[in-house]
Amino acid sequence: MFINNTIFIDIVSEQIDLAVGYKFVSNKQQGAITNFIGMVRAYNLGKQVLAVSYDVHKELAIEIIYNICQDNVRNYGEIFRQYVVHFHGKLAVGAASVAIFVSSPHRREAFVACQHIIESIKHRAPIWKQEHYVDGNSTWVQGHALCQH
Amino acid sequence: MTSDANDPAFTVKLQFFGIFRQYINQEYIVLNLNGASSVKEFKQLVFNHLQQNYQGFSDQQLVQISAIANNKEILPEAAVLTNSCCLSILPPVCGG
Repeated sequence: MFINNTIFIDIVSEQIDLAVGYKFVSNKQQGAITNFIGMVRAYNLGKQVLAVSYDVHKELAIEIIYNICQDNVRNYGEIFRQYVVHFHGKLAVGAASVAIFVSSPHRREAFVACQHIIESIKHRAPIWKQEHYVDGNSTWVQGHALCQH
Repeated sequence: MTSDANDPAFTVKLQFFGIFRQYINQEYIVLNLNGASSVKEFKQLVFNHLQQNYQGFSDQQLVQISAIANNKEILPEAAVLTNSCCLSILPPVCGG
């Protein structure tokens, strides 16, 4: 876990508590709160999904997500409160895999910053998904290469 | 693999994540390096080891497109490994 006055990042193996995220980013100085919640959905590429297992390199994920949050600070200044929690383990359909809350004085930066976090997690964070299907099979989801030649 | 006769040998503890877990039934392996190696050379060593020791593993492209990282950062291909350390091999990611 990483926490300071304005950034909270954690990788958890229990149900994500959304109220904690909302509370962390709430502040009298902030006029806008945006959030993204990733959910396990029932179908992917035409196959019925029962559950998804998330594999995570915890130490590196926290480091990289911190860098992603710092991107927002570099781009817009120290105006944000940012909260990012990702699940590690097996989740049933309908459960939350990731919760992101961002607050800022005005809404434009909050929207942009929140989207930057989730898009960057998908391309940069050391996190992987294995889908488990109704037919009993499982597949590791194809992803984005981190290696740059 | 290039190495200098004066380079001391060292070991790398390598952890696996994601799709590698369907081939590797252990949390990590230990590789012996005869001397300084670039990350690119190290990945070739990893592939050779997996191909020789894990039946069914022949996906050289998977190893090539995977990244090598320590706990703080992803290492560039040109980075040189010179000392014993703990690393991870990271296949293409899909979090969120």
